[in-house]
Amino acid sequence: MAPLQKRALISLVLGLVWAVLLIVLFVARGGVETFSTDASTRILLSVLFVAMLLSMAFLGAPWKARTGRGVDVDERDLAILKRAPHVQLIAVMLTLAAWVIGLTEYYWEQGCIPVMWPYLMVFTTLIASTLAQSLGVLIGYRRS
Amino acid sequence: MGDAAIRNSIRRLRFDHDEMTQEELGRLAGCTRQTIISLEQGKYVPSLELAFRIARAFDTTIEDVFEFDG
Repeated sequence: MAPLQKRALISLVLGLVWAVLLIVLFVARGGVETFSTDASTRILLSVLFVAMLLSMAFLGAPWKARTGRGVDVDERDLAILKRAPHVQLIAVMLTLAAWVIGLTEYYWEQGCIPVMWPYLMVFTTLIASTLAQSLGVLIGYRRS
Repeated sequence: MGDAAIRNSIRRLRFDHDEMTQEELGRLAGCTRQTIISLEQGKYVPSLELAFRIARAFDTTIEDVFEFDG
């Protein structure tokens, strides 16, 4: 397994663990109701969310290192890394489409959407984006 | 990338060169062992620069390593 491939796999697993942790915490603290009324829940989830993004960014960052034993990342790795945003784009589009269509249909009669939803939209879209990057890298390795 | 019309003789050339390992070729050409594996399986077409480096590692010309099936 190529070093970048290994790193993408670790990122994906770590991202899934973070996502499950955030969802469990969100549900355990009262779900949407608490999220919209309790500022401490919002702050806690936001802090954890930023921690997730930072840990993912650290692991997913492209790196190039030459050592005495050989090359860690070469042109094929970089080409795969360059193509990963295609998967990211699809994931982001699908997540946003699901949110927008779902919320619009659900709140159609009210004519407006409660203010906490955009928060959750951002959280989930960024989670989908970061997970999709790792997934895109893994797909790239499978294909080439 | 996968349906390349460019074939290569890397595997044969490695064996002709004292059974050079993929690791060793990767080190000489400046790429990873995984890329050499991918090249040998015909899944990846290298850049011109890498193709030249691989040819140089075998001390031969690029035409002896790569063949265009177009």
